[in-house]
Amino acid sequence: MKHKDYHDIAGGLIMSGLGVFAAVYAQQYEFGELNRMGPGYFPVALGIALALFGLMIAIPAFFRQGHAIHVEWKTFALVIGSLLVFALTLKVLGLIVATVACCIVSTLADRETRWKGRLMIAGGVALITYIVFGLGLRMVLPIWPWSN
Amino acid sequence: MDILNGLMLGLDAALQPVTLLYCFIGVFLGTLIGVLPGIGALAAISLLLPITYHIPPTAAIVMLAGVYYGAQYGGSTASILLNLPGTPSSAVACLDGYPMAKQGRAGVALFMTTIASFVGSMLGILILVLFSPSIAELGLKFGPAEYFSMMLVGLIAASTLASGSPAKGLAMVALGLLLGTVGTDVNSGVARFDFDIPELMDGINLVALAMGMFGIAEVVSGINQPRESDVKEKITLRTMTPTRQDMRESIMPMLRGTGIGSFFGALPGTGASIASFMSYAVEKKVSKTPEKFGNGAIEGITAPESANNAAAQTAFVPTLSLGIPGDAVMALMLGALIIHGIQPGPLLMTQQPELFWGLIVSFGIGNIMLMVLNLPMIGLWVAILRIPYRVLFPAILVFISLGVYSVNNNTFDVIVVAIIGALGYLLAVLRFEAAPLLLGFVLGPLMEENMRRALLLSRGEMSTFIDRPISAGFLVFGLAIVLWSAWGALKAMVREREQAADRAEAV
Repeated sequence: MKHKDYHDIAGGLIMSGLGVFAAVYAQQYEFGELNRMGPGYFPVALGIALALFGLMIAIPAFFRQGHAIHVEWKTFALVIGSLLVFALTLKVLGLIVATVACCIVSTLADRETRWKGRLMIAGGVALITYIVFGLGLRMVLPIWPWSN
Repeated sequence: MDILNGLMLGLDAALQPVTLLYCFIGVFLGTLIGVLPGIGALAAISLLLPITYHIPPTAAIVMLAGVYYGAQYGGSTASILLNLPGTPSSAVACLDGYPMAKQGRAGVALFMTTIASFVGSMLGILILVLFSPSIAELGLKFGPAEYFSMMLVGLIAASTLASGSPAKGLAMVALGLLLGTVGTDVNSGVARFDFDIPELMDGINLVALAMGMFGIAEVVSGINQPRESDVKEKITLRTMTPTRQDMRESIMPMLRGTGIGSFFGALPGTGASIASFMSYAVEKKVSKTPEKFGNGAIEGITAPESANNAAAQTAFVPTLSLGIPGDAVMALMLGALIIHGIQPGPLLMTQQPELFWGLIVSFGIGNIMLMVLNLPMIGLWVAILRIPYRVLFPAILVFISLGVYSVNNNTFDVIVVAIIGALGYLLAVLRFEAAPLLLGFVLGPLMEENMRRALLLSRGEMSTFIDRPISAGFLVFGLAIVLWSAWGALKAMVREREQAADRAEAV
């Protein structure tokens, strides 16, 4: 029970950091005046506000007890990774390969799925995707690696 | 044009075979994605948005709207049978719905939530019909100062009422507003926060942001989560029949729920989720037997279900009559209207009466379809709930990616989803709510434009926001919300201290 409220400390500091970054980065845009605001006015004001809100979250949290932060890193990495794989392969290798690759990477995150099930899921989703998006909606994208 | 003429015109438009067909597709898909946990109306509407390019505008909007209110019906099914909310707004239905299912009354719970949903929706539509014309008329008097103040109140309401911590809600709104500034500034033509990436000149894609914040974050936290149980019960029409007492005990809660839901639905910034939570709290407070709540009280499911359905209908009031989206889904609907060359706002009702009234009449027809879909066909939805999540989530990921890709035929947007998804998951782990961020993102550009215009007109005098009575009214309302929530937070803090002191004494 010695934990501080790390959720709010981390969250508040992240928000403050983002706010400071935005306010500093937006200095390159013209600030303007109240009756003729430049493109920098709104972002700088928002950045400062965000930094203050972040402090409002973080400071009280130092005096409060909480729990340790729990992140499912493996699941997180595999799901985000599967999206990146899809994005990078879609135009090059086509819809079917991208779908299968995305399914294989993402199902690695599930503890119960074995390789047989994984391939069946990938095949099934690829089939549905092909029918719905390829045949049904006629989306503008290559279906097979050789369709380009 | 008076309301009766409008409704006749709407009936004409809504009974077109094409419109009826798309209305059915909409409510069917809505129920489906409502039943499935881990994919919501937002995801489904984003996926369907690109498809609507090819169909007539009225049919397109009718379909998208059908997905939205259809999801409110389906959401409670998973809550009752699996103790797992199908949509965020049906989370409350778990509290008493799941205990009812454990007592063998799942059928009754499903029947009563459908009835409650229907009552809430129909009364919500009535309110929409009665109030939209006068609000649109009022909207014609709005200048930039009024628009700015109204959106400000919406954001305050969204951040302080909807989330547990007002400070966190405000931070998310501010972050959302900042994300909204990414891209070319309309007034000066300067590209802001583009980091020299050409795709960012047009701003962040709303669909990508919504999918990342809600869809991806939800999938990551859903994987490897143990489910309470499988659906064992057989749901038949016979087991669904409620007792006379169930009906009697539900009438007043349904009406109260509808009232609460209609209010929060129409208020920009709050929506179905907060309406259902509020109405549950109210029922518990007015009940003579509050100890029954949490143990299968019928009021505990009928009131919130009426509330979230009423809210889903009245959410169209600000969207259609003022052009101000009240939540993220409405923002997508607004986007859909604009794609079809329709500018939502006070003039919509007079300039596009077939669309406006057709949409409203289609709500009524859609809700009747939903009754049929949800009562005799409940077995279908129960069967769908048996699909395990580990089979479902890869499909959800692929559909999200393809849906985002299809908006601009651009894989860059899929990468944006991955990045926003990563941010969204980490923020969810730190217990930040995504809804205020999305609303800030949507309203940001509108707010900035109206604020700049208002101050230009007043020659830089900030007092313009207080001098104009309607604007001042909004601001006073916003201030009241801030004070009320600050008071609530203070009370909670004192209570926490006392409890901590008690614990210390006990040790």
